[in-house]
Amino acid sequence: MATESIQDIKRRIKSVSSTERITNSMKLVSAGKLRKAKAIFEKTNENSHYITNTIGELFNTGKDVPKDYLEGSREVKTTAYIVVTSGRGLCGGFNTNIIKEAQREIDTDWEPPVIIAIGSKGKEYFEKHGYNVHSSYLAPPESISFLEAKELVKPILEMYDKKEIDEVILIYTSFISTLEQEVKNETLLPFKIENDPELLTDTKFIEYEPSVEAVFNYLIPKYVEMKIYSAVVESATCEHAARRMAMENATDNAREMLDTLNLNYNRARQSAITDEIIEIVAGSEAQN
Amino acid sequence: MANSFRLEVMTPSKLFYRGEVELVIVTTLDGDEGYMAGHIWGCKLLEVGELWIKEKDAGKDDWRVAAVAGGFIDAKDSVVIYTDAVEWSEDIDMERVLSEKAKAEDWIAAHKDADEQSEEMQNAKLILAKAETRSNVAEGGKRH
Repeated sequence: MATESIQDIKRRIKSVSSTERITNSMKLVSAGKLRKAKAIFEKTNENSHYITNTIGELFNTGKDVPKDYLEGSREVKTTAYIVVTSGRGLCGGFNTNIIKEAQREIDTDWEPPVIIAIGSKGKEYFEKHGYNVHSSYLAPPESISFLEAKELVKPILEMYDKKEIDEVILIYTSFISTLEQEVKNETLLPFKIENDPELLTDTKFIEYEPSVEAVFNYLIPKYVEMKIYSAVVESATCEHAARRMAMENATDNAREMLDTLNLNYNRARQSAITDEIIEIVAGSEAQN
Repeated sequence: MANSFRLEVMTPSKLFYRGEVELVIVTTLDGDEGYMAGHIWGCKLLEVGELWIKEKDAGKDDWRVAAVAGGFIDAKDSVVIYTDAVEWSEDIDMERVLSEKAKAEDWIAAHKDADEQSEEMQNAKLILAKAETRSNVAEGGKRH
């Protein structure tokens, strides 16, 4: 009995310690990736906020925005959801949180949604649950280029112009700190004008060239592209942060388990030795 | 000369330039346009073209030149230029430009009968225009 359980414990120690080694090295890898992604994110974040703010400001100050893109211009029937998940697992609740939020949003709609999945995890989930995934981007999100984001946006805008979709909602994870990330959902189109009085008092005559429509026809796709690009970059940063956290927890748990297993192992070994000594003693006593 | 203003040139991935400038000349869809301090507010689309910057307290012929791949300029009290891609003349990789140019020219030559308005044709023309602008800028730009 005793020897068998010693062997069992030994086997378990071996498997847990190899798991610990894997999670620990994954933790180190994602810590490195996180550092890299964070550097990119911080650089783009500042700029993209600036650009989206500039465009947002123009939307707010200009009374000349084409009505089609403004809130209330048409009845919202079909909604397109852009769901930004990761392409790989082992990152704790990262994907689950995103998908839960997306599902909650989708459940409030009557019409079947149009889903654009960035990252394979979201695509797999929605396909499994019988939704129609319109298009997807499956390469690792941290390496997305602005050009690729542009390609992604094109069909969305075309559908919006053709009135196949009436609303575009972006669901992604926003980065607060390495320990904290938050799921956010943002309506990209139609554009909601915040009648900020501070901005409105500042209106001066603005020259548009070649024409107001041309300027906004350029700006609106740009705004959506920028938003999606920065969301993907941000989400990649979150993914690494989440994975690092998950792996750190896993490593800690594995170590804790190893400690108890080692203790049990030593106990079992000791009791086996004690048993043997008792047997020897009993044997020699019987001879006398 | 206190007549300077703040100029920022941005791309999706980085802040390309930020500084006090006296004059900036851009290529809008309707032609070249220069901006000095106190210019009327405007929001204009940019053509693939050259960007000329005269920095504050720079000499008379002291320009900084860059190639811009289209975008828009938002001129208020300070000016922001937003573009997908921009390069200083001294950073342009001539070899790459020439190979891109040759490729685009070959494509256009091979597809002579293609629809002028087709997406591919427009794309090839855009690449050609970008390559031409960059090679011009690398050689100092049209104002030299």
